[in-house]
Amino acid sequence: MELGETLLVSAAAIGASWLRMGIALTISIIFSLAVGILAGTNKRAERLIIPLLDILQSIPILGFFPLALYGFYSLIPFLGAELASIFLIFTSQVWNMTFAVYESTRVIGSELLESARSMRLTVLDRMRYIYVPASMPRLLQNLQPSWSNGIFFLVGSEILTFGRADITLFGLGSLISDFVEAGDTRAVLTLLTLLVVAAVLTNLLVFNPLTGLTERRRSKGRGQVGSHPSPPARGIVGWISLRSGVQVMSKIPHPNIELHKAIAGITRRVSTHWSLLRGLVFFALTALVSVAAISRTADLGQVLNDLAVALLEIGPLNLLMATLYSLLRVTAGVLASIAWSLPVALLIFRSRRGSAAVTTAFQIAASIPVTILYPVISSVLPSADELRALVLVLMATQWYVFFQVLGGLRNIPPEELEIAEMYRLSYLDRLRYLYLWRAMPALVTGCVVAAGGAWNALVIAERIVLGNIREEVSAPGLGKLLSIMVEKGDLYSIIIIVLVMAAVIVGLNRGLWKRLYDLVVSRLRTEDVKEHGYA
Amino acid sequence: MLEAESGGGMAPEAIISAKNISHSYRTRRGGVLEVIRDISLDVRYGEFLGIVGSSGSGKTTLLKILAGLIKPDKGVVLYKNKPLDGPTPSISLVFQLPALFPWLTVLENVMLALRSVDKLSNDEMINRSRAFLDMVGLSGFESAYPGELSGGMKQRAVLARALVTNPDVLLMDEPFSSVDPLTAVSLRREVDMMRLSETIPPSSVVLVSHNVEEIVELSDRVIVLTSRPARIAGELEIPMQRPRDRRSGEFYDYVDKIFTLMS
Repeated sequence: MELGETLLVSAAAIGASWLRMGIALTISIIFSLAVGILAGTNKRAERLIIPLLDILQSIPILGFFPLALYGFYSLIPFLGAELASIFLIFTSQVWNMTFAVYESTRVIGSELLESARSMRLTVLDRMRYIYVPASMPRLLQNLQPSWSNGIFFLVGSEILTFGRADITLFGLGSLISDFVEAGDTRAVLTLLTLLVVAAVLTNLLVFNPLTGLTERRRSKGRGQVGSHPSPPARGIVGWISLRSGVQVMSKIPHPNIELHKAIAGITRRVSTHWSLLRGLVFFALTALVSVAAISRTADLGQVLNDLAVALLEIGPLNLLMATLYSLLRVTAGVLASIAWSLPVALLIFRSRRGSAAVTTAFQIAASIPVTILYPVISSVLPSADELRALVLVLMATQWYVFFQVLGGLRNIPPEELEIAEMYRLSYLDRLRYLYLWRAMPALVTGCVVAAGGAWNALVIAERIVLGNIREEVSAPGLGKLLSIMVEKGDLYSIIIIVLVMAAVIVGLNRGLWKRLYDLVVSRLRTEDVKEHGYA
Repeated sequence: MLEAESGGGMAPEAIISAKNISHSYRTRRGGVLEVIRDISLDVRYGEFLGIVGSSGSGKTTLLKILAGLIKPDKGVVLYKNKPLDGPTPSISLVFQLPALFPWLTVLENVMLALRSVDKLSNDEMINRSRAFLDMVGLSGFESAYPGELSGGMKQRAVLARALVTNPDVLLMDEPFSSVDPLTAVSLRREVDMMRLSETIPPSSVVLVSHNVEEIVELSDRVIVLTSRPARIAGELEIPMQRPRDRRSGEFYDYVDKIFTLMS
């Protein structure tokens, strides 16, 4: 292809994908406001919605995808594929936003609500003047991470292979696959460059102004659980690196922080096991009904029977081994992320300019869909399949850990740094008595998100399908299994694998991460007031 | 004590001497905010110096410059006639908010100050820290975490940490403004008593505050700052007897004088 032609096609593809993501984001905003406000204001709804969202967000997105495709296809045949693709992107964007709205609504001061009641505001007026404005700051903060998350799954959502159904939608993801398949390196690079430019421009022109919009109106602390310390004073650094760098990083929490706050909040009040059980049961029932609807059998017994058959076909031992191997890969990915993130973050966090530059560079790197890099990785590491998988998992996880830790370190209250300086603590002492303590909650949060991202990435990392290319790890893995079943179009096996994966993720979240987080935070919580510093 | 330490010279000698200090901050929008303009002052041996100015007048910045935490844009700070080029254990600073590390016990927080002072053994560090916690009335709370203490107790712990290095100069940045009024009264009294005791360092104390009564109650000498940018509006000696009666006419004369200088 000519360069001009490549450029044109690439730009058009990015446009198409951007449009899809824009539509998905708009739906996400509406959904998050509706569901988030409902959960935040209605106790009964809260008890149902929050555990359910917790389970839904932990399901690997690509697991949704055959279900979605089947559903939309049977509903509206001519638009089905397009709708399924948008739905998939939507599921990668919506959860953190919903949790953000929920948390914001929940912490609205009671004096505000009481005055609303005394003024006899209607539900609509309350939405307009209280709930929506209260949710806006954090909702807007979450748009950008949601967008990035959407890009990550774009490739998977545009090439819909399910059994015999093989639909390709025109867009970034499908074009990349085409180029890769054709072995056109120049075209891949062209598209990549355009993509980076588009990602940076979108951040600069859309998300940064949007995030900045609410900055002025935000009152200090009131009604803001997660009010962040004001962004650091700015020096004479390039405006691009500044705006997209430190500013965004210090203000925008990663999606799962919202999730974590919300979950931590509800589990404090609602009995964990019961709500979780209720969520799982509800989810299983919904899955069952939708499967019945999709496969057009009214007989639920038949569906159950088919599921049991599928389970036996995969084999429980097989499932167990696959889970263990996948767990090992996820652990390795998270540990490797910590291994480089912590030292690098410690190295640069004191320097405003250094942080801004590194953050900008990493944000650009993080905006590249990991799947694009697969051919490169594949050619560099042709025979090391596990290493290849690890690299892919790492790419999907490392940024979460890094940005979290850097953010945590940069939010160290200035007086604590001054005390360390005043008493001339050695670097080792600073590390031991200050830096590591302040980095810890962020590190744990980063690990939670990273682990979640790793499970999601496994579907790609353990077995990649790009055009006619099939590359997989030789050892078992849940992601590999899921990918194979998706290609086969084996609906029942998919459901079983997705259920296992979701159960493992939810189990780890509650059993390991939440406990670890509470342990760390309990030592720090004691003096939260100090975070605001003084003039 | 004041006479004994003043050396041979006629004028009382300065332990810290700030010469022509100016400092500005860059604002978020790229502007420049001048907070201190050409301030020269001496902290004399053995005195209690009060620095008073309205809120946001750069008092905290000035104090951090005297502590060596901030390097001023212009001017120098001399400590015992030598340029001060960074924080030193000989000059301790008490912050406005009781800044203690929440993950360390009270004892560990105090011990932190000793870690890089001299080669003390762990036992010596513990003993010395305990002694100072005793002094500020926190014996029995050594193993408590800061989050379990009241505001006043935290400020006492901070005081113990500031004094445990045996500093020559203690700098205090509105240390009583973050505690409730009653606690502030007793804390002030204790600081005043501590000054009268010969055995306890420091030789000089600098108190920064916007609370004029507080300044008059405690200071031997007061320096009044203008509002931003801070310059010296005037100086006042207060040779009143201690403890000072806030309701006496003499006390109010001084308060009035300071208010006149401030406006």
